[in-house]
Amino acid sequence: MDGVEMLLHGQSRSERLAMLRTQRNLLFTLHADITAGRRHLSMLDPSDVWSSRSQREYSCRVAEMLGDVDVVLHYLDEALASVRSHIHEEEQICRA
Amino acid sequence: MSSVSDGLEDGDLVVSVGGSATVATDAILAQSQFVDALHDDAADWANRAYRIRNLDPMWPANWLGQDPWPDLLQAAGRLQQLATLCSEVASNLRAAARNYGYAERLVQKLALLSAADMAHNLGSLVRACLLALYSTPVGVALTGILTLELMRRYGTMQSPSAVQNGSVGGVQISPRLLTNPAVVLLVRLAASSIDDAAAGLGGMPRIVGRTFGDEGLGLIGVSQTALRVVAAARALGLLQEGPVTAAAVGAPTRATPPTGVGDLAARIPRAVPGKPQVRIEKYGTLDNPSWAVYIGGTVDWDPVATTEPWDLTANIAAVARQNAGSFSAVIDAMKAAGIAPSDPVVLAGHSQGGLVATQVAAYTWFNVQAVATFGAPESRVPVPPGVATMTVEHTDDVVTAIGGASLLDSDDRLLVRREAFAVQEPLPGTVLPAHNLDTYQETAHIIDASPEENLSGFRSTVTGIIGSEPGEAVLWRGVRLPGGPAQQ
Repeated sequence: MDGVEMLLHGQSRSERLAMLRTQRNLLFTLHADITAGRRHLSMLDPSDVWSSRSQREYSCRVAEMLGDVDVVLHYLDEALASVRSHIHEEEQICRA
Repeated sequence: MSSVSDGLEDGDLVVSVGGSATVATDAILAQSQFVDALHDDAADWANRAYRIRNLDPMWPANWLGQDPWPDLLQAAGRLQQLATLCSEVASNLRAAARNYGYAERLVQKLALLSAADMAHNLGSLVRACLLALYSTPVGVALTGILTLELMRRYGTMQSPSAVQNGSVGGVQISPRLLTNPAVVLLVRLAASSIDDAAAGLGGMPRIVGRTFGDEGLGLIGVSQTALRVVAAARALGLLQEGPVTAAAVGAPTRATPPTGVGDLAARIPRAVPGKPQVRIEKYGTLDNPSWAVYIGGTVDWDPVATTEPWDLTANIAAVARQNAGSFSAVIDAMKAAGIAPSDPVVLAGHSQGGLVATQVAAYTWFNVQAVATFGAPESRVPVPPGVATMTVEHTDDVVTAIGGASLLDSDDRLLVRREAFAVQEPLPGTVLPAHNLDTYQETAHIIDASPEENLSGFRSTVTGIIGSEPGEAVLWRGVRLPGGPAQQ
């Protein structure tokens, strides 16, 4: 194997580490974009625009969208934690 | 409270897109546009989450341990759900605006129809009474007394500036009454129904008005009534138009390009006797110039035409869709300024100036690409397709109603309404405060501050035509030629 440990799919350790770092960076950017979107969404306050039932219905939909975004951000946090953990493991192995 | 903004907050901008196909406050439209954008973002985010997961060629093998792919899969799935929800919400918001527009148009048409019927019946009743009265000596005497009393009260040709001052026939009219959306609506209906009353008085069958009037094909209506008023007044020596001329006043000055609707409104010349009524700004290069033309409102409200072309005579002539003196003066000034038929032009006008701006756009000699009117009487002047038109009206501005209800449908027309004095009271002593150019300038700044796409789109159209390089401005003054207005 010429001293290079190959993983499944013909990936070397260094290639895998680079891929994980790319994943981490892309996840960071995606997380930041969605967080910015959430900030704008949370500013959608229909109370100044509508009244009565329409307002309540619209508020519910906006709250539902915010809920979806929060769940997405939670999953992204988890994914980011996993990638970081993998990067840490790979770095340990490479150093060893 | 404004009837047109029922259910919406008073004092908000109400935007009608494509005639009245879509009607909502700018805030609601901006929200639907934001949710639409969020739908696209959510779809993009979902794709990005899938792509991040697919970067790892080993993801299908990683079933154990702490792996990111199940979370990324869940996130992508949720984002797709969010995209679907956004699409539904945006669609519902648009449907609400469309339904509001449909309902408003229906109510307006029904109101026009009822008012026209009522006016026709009233005309028929008066006709019947007159016929009955004229057949008896008492009737003749009563009619004579009534006529004399009317002549005693209103016989002197009182200047409509008295109406501006809040009095008619010695009766003081409360300025607040004239700044009431309900009164404005009544005036609009009355203006649209005068021809029906006349038709009833003349014994014309109702079906004629329904078919050809404002409530039908719009072939007869306010403009025809105004035409009859002009004809009758000219027989009495009033409202006589005449040839006009326009000349530059002062040297050219440096001008910065308008950046929005607020700038357009701010540069419209004020209606001051003896002062220039038109401002023409030139931008671009020698080879590719672009122009902004600003037209002021009525200066003189006297029905006897003088050397001032921005007068009542021109106002009524414009509503009658005749060549008003002010229109001719603007055309003269534009040609004298060197505006070529191919040069792109942006027009802005207040009150009569708005009406004239619309007529200049309809006069296809110039390449008018955008028109902004503030407080202009509604008219059925057909602006050519492709000309971006923004009509700004205060629902408590009675002047916009004297042209009746235009019910114009055009994809290029953006109607922006606002009740100027919904919350605060007008300053004491101000006459027709909702028609004031200052009040329209305030609304123009609110329009510029709105994130709504149709409003920002109009701003972009104007700045796209004019560019961002400084230019030069020249003031122009139109004068009706000495020797007295000529009979047309």
